[in-house]
Amino acid sequence: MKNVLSALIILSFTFTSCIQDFPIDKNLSNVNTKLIDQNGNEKHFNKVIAGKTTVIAFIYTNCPDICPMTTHNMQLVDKKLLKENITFINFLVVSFDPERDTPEVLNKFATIRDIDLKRWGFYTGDKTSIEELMDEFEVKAFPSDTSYSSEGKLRYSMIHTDRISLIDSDGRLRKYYSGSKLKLDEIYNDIKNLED
Amino acid sequence: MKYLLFLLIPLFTFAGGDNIKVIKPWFRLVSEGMTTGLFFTVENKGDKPDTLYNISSNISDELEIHETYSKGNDQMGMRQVDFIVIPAKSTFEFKPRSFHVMVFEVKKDMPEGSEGEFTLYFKQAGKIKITAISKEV
Repeated sequence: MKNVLSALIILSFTFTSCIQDFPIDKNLSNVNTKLIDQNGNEKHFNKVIAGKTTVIAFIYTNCPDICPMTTHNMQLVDKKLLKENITFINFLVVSFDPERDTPEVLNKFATIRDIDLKRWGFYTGDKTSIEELMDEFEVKAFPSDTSYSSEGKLRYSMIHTDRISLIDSDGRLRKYYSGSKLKLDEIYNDIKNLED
Repeated sequence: MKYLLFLLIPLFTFAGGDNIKVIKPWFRLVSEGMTTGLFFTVENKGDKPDTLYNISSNISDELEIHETYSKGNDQMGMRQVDFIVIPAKSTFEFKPRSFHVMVFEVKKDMPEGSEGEFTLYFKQAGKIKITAISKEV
């Protein structure tokens, strides 16, 4: 009886610990949002994430602060994993500013950062599809400060959610992190836990 | 003697420029035509505040001072700021997730290690030129 009780207590602690490590468990494997990658190729979201642990963030490339920080933090995660020869991880960056972030713009954004597009993908698409995908991750973005350049070109910045999300290899959303203030060790350990 | 003192006046006038120092300048790497952020620290060693009101550069024709701010619920935004007052005897940081200079539509690709020349305009100290290096943090 005591043994059964001890086992139950240990099991409940383990279960609680797992929930705390991965507080979300949302199935995204049926989310087939059509996206366009940095080379202009059409991809479906659920096919991109299938079978791999995925780190995903939503950004816009005209952002001078939060979004490049978020991308850089993802690069730091990538580098840390590569040191341990963990290469089977997806890094997805999706733009919520598809009017300006064309595949060509996304390609340049990746190239100037020396990002390895074998493990990374930068995506745009039609606005409605992108917004539906953002809803899955509770990410919001909308234009804010607007001005015109001296040549009459419309410029706007965006208010947006500062977030990186983690999806497991079964296509289940598991956790949110701050994008610009990412705790590198936390997400690294979480990825390793998912991979084990 | 009076003439000697008269000649020394310009030296004290321009000494105000020594009160402001701009250190640790850097900007985010960026591709041609896109927007980046310039960051630096301003040290005001003088007894009076000074105001940064304009910036120009050889890598862009349009620059603005901006502030990144938290809107709550993990939402971040940016807004333009017309000027920044650097109080006397203080240090003001233009840093990530805070005040920065928006550098619009850069004229060419600026990968890591690129140099950009910037001129900061202060009401008291006048023009201060800096060279910033591109990096990512």
